[in-house]
Formats: sequence, C-alpha cells, structure tokens
Amino acid sequence: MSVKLKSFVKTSQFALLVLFAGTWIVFGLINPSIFSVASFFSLTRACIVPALFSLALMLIMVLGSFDFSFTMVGAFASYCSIFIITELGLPQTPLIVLLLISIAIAVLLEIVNWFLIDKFKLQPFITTLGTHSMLKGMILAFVSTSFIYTLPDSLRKLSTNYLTTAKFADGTEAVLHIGILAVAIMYALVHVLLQHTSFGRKVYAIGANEEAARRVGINVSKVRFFTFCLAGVIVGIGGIIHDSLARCTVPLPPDLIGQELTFVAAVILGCGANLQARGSVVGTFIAVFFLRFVSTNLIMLGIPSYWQRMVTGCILLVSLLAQVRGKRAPQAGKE
Amino acid sequence: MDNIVTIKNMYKSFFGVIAMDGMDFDVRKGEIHCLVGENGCGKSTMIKVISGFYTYDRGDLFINGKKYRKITSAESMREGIQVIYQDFSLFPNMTIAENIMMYDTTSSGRVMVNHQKQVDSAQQVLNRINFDINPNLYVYQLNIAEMQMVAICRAIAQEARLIIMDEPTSALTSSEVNKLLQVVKDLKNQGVAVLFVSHKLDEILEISDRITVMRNGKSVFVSKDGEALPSKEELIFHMTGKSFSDKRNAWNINTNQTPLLETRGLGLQGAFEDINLKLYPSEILGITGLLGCGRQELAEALFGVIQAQSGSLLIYGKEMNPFSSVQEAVAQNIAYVPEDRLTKGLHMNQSVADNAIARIVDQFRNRLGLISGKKTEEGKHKALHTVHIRGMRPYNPVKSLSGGNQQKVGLIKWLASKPRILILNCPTVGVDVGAKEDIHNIVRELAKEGMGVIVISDDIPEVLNLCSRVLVMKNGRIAHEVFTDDMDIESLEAMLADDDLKEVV
Repeated sequence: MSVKLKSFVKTSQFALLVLFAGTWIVFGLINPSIFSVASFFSLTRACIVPALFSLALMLIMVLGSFDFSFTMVGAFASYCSIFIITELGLPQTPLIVLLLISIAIAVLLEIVNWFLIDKFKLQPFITTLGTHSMLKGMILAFVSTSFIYTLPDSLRKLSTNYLTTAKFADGTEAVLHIGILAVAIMYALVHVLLQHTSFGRKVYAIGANEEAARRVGINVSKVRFFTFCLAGVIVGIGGIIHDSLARCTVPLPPDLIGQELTFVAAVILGCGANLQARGSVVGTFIAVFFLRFVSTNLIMLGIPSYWQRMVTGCILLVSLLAQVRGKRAPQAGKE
Repeated sequence: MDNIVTIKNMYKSFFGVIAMDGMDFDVRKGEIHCLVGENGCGKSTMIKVISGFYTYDRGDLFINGKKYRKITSAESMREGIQVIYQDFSLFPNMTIAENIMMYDTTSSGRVMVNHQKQVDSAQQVLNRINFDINPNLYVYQLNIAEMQMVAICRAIAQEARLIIMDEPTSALTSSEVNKLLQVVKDLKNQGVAVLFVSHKLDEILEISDRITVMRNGKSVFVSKDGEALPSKEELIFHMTGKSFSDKRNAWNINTNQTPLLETRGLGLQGAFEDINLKLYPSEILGITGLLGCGRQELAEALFGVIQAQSGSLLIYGKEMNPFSSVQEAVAQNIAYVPEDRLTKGLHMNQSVADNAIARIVDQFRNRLGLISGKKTEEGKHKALHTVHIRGMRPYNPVKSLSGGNQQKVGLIKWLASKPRILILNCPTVGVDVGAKEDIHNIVRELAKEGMGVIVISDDIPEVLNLCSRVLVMKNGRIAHEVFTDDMDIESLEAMLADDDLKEVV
C-alpha cells in the first residue's frame, strides 16, 4: 500500500491536489468562511454538472479522439425528453423513464458522431464542431425555442433532494445535493472500467497508437463505438441533472453551450488527455473542483469575470507546460 | 512438414506495379533466416502477405502446412507469426507489463484485468530473454533498444513460433546490436524461428542459418543447408545484379591551398573539446566514432545548430567566432544533411519538388518581392536534375519515396543552394546497398567539382570507401587521424573497439 501511495505522490494528479490545497488555504485566509463545511457543500453542488460533462469528454479524449458537441448533445437530449413529456402532459413520469429517454437520445447523437468519425475517417474536432452547430440549429428549428419552467414532478423533487446540510457562520444553510451521488457512481464506474477492465485498456491503447492497436487485434471501430455510446450515456444523465438543478430547461443553456473549453481545460488539467493520452479519472475530478473553486471564489471576492477567464487560461497553460516538462524529462535520457 | 511458412510462385501487384513476381520462399522451424534485398524489391510486401495485411494475386501460401488462399492478421497471429515493426507498435502510455501482455488483455475474453498477474507473467517473459528491467516502467520512459526488447517480449508472450524482424538494427548502437543478436540466438535455441530483414550484411552473415536474396519481386539466391554462407561481395552481387569494388581513395590533396574550413581548439562542455581539423577543397573527410563520442554535437556545432563555447573557426581562411545560429552557417555557404531526415531534414507531406527548392525559395522572388510561379517551376526542374531518383514523381509527397530516395531529396535540397562545404551526418542509415552506392557516387562527383565534404558516420565500410582521410573521435576528442589507403575494416574497427574497452576500464 505504501508503494502505491508513493507512486501516487509522484503523479501530476497529486501535484494538482497540492496546488488545489494551497489555493484553498490562500483563499481561506482572505475569506475564512471558505474553510466551512457549508462552503464545501455549495462548491459540490456547483461541480455536479461540470463533473459529469468533463467525465464524458475525458473518455473520448483518452480514446485519442475529440468531441466538441458533447454539451450540445446533453442539452439536446434533456430538453427534448422534458419537452416530449411536457407536450404529452405526463408530469407524473418517473425519473428513470426521463433518464432513459434522455440517454437514448444522447447515445443516438453520439453514434452519429462515431459514424462520421469512424466510417469516413473525418477529423474529430471539425466533425463534432459541425454536429454541435447542426444540433444547435435543429433544436431551435424543429423542437422548440421556448423555456420550460414547469419541470416534471420527479425532477422538481430531485432538485431539492439532499444528503445532508450544513450552516454558514451567518446562519444560511447549504445542502449536499444528492446529484453528487450520481457523480461519485459515474466516476467510480468509469475509473474501474478504464483501469481494471480489458475494454478500458483497449481505449488507452487506441488513444496511444491506433495503428498499433489494430496490429494487436483490437477492433478499433467497436471500442470507439462503445466509448462514444458511454459518453452519450453520461451526458444524457448530465443533461437531466443539469435541468433539475437549474429548475427549468432551455434549448441552449448558457452554462453548458459555449462553456466547452472550460470542460476541456478540466480534462487537460487533470492530465486526462496529454499527448500520450494517459487519461486520469481522479485527475479530472480534482481539476473540475479546482477550476470551479477558483472561479467561484474570484466571484465572491468581487473580481470581474474577465479576470476569472484569464486565471483559468493561465492555470491551463502552466499545467500544460508542467506536463510537457514531465514528459520530456525521461526522454532526455534516451540515446 | 517442418516449414512454418512456404511461399510458392507468388505474384502480387499494386495498381499495375509488380511487387512480387513469382517469389519462392520458405522458413523452417527454429531457424534464423535472413531476407535481404534492395529497397522496393518486395520484401515488405511479402512480410505483409505472411502477416495477413495484404492478400496476394496468384501462387500458394502454406503456413504450418496448411494452405491459405487468404490469411487475416488474426489467423496469422494464431499460427504463431509475430512481426516486430520498425516503429515497434507499442503503447507509450502503458507499462512494460501491460504492453507485453497486451494480446492477453485483448483476446482472453476476460472482462477484468488482473494487474498483479499481468506483471508476473510479463516478468516470466522478460526472464526468458534475460532482459533485466522493471516491468512497471512506462514505455515512454524507455530508449529505442529497450522498446525493441519489449516488442520482442510481446511476441514471445504470444507463443510465437516465427518472429519477423523488419530492419531491427537500424536504430541501435553497436553494443545494442550485439545484445539483440544474442537474443535472436537465444530464441532460436528455444525453438522460435526468426526471419531477419536487414541491410547490414555483416550482421546477416554473423547470425543466419540461411539467407534468401530477393530482387525485383523474385528470389534470386537461397543459401543451401550445410554449405558455407556466401561472401559479402556475392550477396551484394545477388542483391543488385552488379558488383561493387571495395576501392580506396589515396589522399592526394594539395595542403598548400587554403582550407575551406578549419577549426582551432573548438570545444563545447560535455560534448567535445580541443577539436582541430582542416577540410580542403575537393576533400571528403570522414569523422567516425562510437555513439556519444561527440561526433553528432561537432556536426551540429559546425552548422550552428548548437554553439561551441571555445575555440574559433576559419572559413575560407577568414577567422570568425563559432556559429551561434544556422543562418550564420548558411551565409557561409555551408550545407548540412542531418541524420534523421524524417524529423529534421525534410517536409514529409510536401511534394518532392517543393522540398527540392525549400532552401532557395527566396531566389524566385520577382520585382515585387513575391514568389514567381514561373521562376519556381524552373528552379524545381533544375534542382531535380542534379541527382537522379528512379521512379520519382515530382509532385508526390516525399513520404511516398523509399528511405534511400528520401535521402537523395535531402541532398538535392541542399545542393540547390550551391554550398561550398557539405556536412553529411550518417548519410546512408537505413538505405540499401544500391542507393548507398548512388549516394556515394554523388558525393564523389561533388568533391571532384571542388566542394569540401565532411561525412560523419559510424558505418566503417562506408567511411573507408568514401573518404581518403578519417578522424576517429573518442570522448569528445580527435583520437586518431587515419589515411584510408592503407587501412582495412578490421583495424579501424579495432581502433574504435579498443577505445571502447579503455572506456569500460
């Protein structure tokens, strides 16, 4: 066990954790309420949706591919499923059915991405940029442009469901939202899948070297198919949870559409997709919390939002530089 | 049947280009069989047919006595045939153990991966070839030779009965080559057959049980059992259909003329020190030495890629400081063809013609300072006529050419700028005998016209053949100066090896 701990200390995920802790202390000295449990709970609530979406993106990036449309897929799937239920006048529909509809739509859309990328050998970034834009137009043109404020009952219930509560010093209450369970379960599942199953190892193999993966007899197309499907499942769930937390659903939620780069930043920061595609579930998790922590606290300190963007950008660039250095170091010993 | 692979009268063509033209070939159980031939003779095509990546047009393919009209790569692997590709096809983001046991992971049908068991099984495989390394290291941390060993281990783990190695030694240092050859012999003792493809005839003659020479898609020579292997000259004759003399050049340089290039006490910490050399017009000067002796750094310093810290340069008799940039060296009419043309010398995706004029594109500006299309076309035409490249289409990308031809494009590119000093770093690595001879002839012609050429190479026969004077580097210093007309391969190699021994002591 101590060996495992030692090797964890050497990883960039650990470095990120240390950085996170350091930032936490610095901000905490400025604003002591940050050290409170309540503050942690509210941070957690803000991280649920980004965590799920980043996880989906990470899967695809470990595969050595890319998906720019994942936020749109999630938003599209959840808006459509809630729209259908509302139009049919079935507000009693249980959560599981809603989730299944949303997942089905999201998986279908990701299969379209897979089909274009796998069968026509299109460049993933540009392809998904195309599907992203297409879905954006389609949802407004064919589905609806209206905001739906009356969510199905199950979603309204979900939005107020919590595990436990804590109080800030001034008496305001913060809750640990139940959605964090979904995050925990999804992260645990994906971690086990990637690290401990042969499917996961195949995903890493393809991410490292597609041609070599083919040569060892991996069915690249099939593995890619299931990876895109799995990403679809995650964003399908993520979309529904997003709408539940937002207490309404809109065709193009501004905290998802247009925020893709923040999720990309989290994945890269968590070493989920450096050039060697050594993806890390744990790293992505820490990175999501870290980025959200920094931006939330900059808001609370009254710092303008363009500063936040700059800080996020700086963190990303510095971490990239660190990863490149870390990668080069052992190679310098070559020859 | 004790043949693993038998190929009879096989034909294969791609879009009208014949790759295999009635090839006959066989590999027996547990033998080391070498396949030699010039680039483009059909070796790779045949390997790809055996490993199931290509189908063939006509003929017969038997594997372990079973006739295959068509074989998939999965079937080929199931028959125990494994290919060690030149790029090794490893996964840098995984550990050695995971790489070795990759087939096990992908084809066992188990859902979960048992990491500890994986490490244990990988360790057993590593032990089989006495390769001492921690299986938990990541592959991106390894050097080329270690990666190759991992690739071999991966083949062994798959219970390979025939391992095909495609030019396995081209990227290795001489001590690594010896280690590899030992592993090949060990494999043979364990009953694994090895099909060894190489350009390096010395290695081939050292380890082969049998040799097949391939030319223009046909087998032109197969050594017989029990008989002595052919000599190197015979092999070259079979490969090329021509005989090459092993001639030496006498050093007849007039030392009264001003050297083109002279260095005085050139030094760079940790790389080389106190380098004094003179390069005269029309001279082909060789610099050789073991890997890490400083020859690479010296070459780069002479071209301004890295800057020497001490000493000075005399270019055409004019004293100046060591170059601090490539631009300074280029301004002095110095050209440098680097060792690794793939990453350093050529734009692989650009056309041959564009590469040929890449150095001199500034000369094609019209009065407005814009690049003139017409002048450019003329320039391309002229540049491509300096060196003949067989079967080259000017507007195809450089990567479509074979290694030898790519190296020629590298030469063309620099010759277009009409240099007076040409530095060639390992000009014929990974190049077959025929193309090598072509490149040597080009260099000789250039020298005849007055150009000074420095050839840096660890290919001893090449250095002896091409140069009249050779500097042997050792530990960053010039240890010997040798005139090649009274030198043979063995004594020059001994000179290097002797130094090597001293280093160890």
